[in-house]
Amino acid sequence: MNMQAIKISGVSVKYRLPKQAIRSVKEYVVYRLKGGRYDYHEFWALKRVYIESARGKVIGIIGRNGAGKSTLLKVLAGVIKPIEGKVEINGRIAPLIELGAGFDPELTGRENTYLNGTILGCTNREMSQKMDQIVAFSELNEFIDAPLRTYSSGMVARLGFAIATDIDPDILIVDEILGVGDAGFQAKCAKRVEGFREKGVTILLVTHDLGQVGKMCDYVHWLEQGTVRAHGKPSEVVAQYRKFMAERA
Amino acid sequence: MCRFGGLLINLVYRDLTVRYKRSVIGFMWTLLNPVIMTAVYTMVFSTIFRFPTQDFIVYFLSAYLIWHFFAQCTVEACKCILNAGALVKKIYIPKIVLVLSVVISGIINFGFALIPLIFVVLIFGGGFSISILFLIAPVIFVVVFTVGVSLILASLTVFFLDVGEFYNALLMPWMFLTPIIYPMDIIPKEYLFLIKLNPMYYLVECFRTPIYQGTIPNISVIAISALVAIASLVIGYIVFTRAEDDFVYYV
Ligand SMILES: Nc1ncnc2c1ncn2[C@@H]1O[C@H](COP(=O)(O)OP(=O)(O)O)[C@@H](O)[C@H]1O
Ligand SMILES: [Mg+2]
Repeated sequence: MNMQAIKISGVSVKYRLPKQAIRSVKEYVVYRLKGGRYDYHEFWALKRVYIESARGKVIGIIGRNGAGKSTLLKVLAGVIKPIEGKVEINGRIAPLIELGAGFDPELTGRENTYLNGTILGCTNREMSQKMDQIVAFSELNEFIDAPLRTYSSGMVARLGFAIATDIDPDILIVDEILGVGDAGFQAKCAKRVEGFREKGVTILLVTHDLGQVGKMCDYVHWLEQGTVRAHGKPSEVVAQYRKFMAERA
Repeated sequence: MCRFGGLLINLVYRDLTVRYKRSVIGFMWTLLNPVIMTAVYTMVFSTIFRFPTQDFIVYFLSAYLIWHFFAQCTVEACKCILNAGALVKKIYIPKIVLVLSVVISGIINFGFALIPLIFVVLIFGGGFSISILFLIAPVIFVVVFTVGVSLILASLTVFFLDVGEFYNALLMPWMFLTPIIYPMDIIPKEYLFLIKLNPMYYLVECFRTPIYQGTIPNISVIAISALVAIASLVIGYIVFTRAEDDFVYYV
């Protein structure tokens, strides 16, 4: 099979920033009566980006704050529809962009696990099968049946990570979140991501840790102002990026 | 989409547990709200309109349950996308699930609220006739109609935050323009058209007739109910699918 796991072809995303913050019918009517036109600034967060990856590769995305990295991952996860271009994804995608999406403080950890799991596209039956593993990995034990509002933020993060990484993804997208929990849990997380890599899961990794990029990635794309500034072998791209950053400083 | 059936179930479960499991009062309120409304309106209106009290109770409650279902769902629907804003911004879900979960929770509440209706009909009405089997049709019509209106309101509220306020203000007069608490024959002929322009009139009539009169409603009432339901769903679906890709920029 030579089908690519991920193929992003000419993707652009445009944010609209309204010049006047009109968010209600009342404001809109008043504004229109005064003869105003609904007007906005356009901001291109991504401009014709091409990225592709074969199965089982680890692709690093680096770039300054505001370069468009998170936007790119959101396009991949289907949160944002690009205004042009195409995104092809072959396989099940696990977005480690925001952990614990949809967690409700009033529900128990177990109820939240079902809720979050189905938000990630699993069925309730699949979640029942994974439940024991998730409880074990998150180290919550009997707290799993306590309401989420009684958890510490570390416990919530652990549960979120355990669920998100237990859904047997083909493609994992990670956005600077490997810093959850204490050192012990972080080591466990890193091990799990490493495990995915060994199993041949395609990983898209956004990180500011250039050392990690060198160690983990097979290929790197450097994003700058919404476009791919450079791509290639990690050592080369990271060197270019470091030079660029040094010149700016 | 069908991959997200489990999500729909879990969202409804969350709605209901947060409302019920952790408060008995919440559950009692679902049962008691129609009863209390009936008591209040019976005292006021059966004296004003000199409606025989026993008749009034069945007449009112059968219509009010339909209205209450519609009003409750659509008011909730206004906020449902914004309330899930954090989710919409972070992760892909078919957003229609958020609206459907509101309506399904409403259907379950409606199911509970039927309990007082059954008692009321047995005690004050003439009991049930075979025509109650027909009730499944008006229930489907009103659910479909409600889904359509909810889709429209949910979409609009994302862009204009005060749509819910306007809608709330509209609901009261709308209820009074629907023959729920008064009989049709008190309406002067020249104003009858106002009632007949109101889709809720047909839906309410369609549900009430088999209970109150023990007969199947007029065929034109059934046909118009079905039509407004389908029209509402089609329009709602079109509006929602056009708008949903932009939700992420506004929530
Ligand atoms: N919802 C939004 N509305 C308007 N602009 C946004 C929005 N989200 C991000 N941006 C802008 O888009 C650019 C790219 O953001 P982002 O993808 O988060 O960058 P990164 O993750 O690389 O730091 C930034 O300049 C940011 O200000
Ligand atoms: Mg970012």
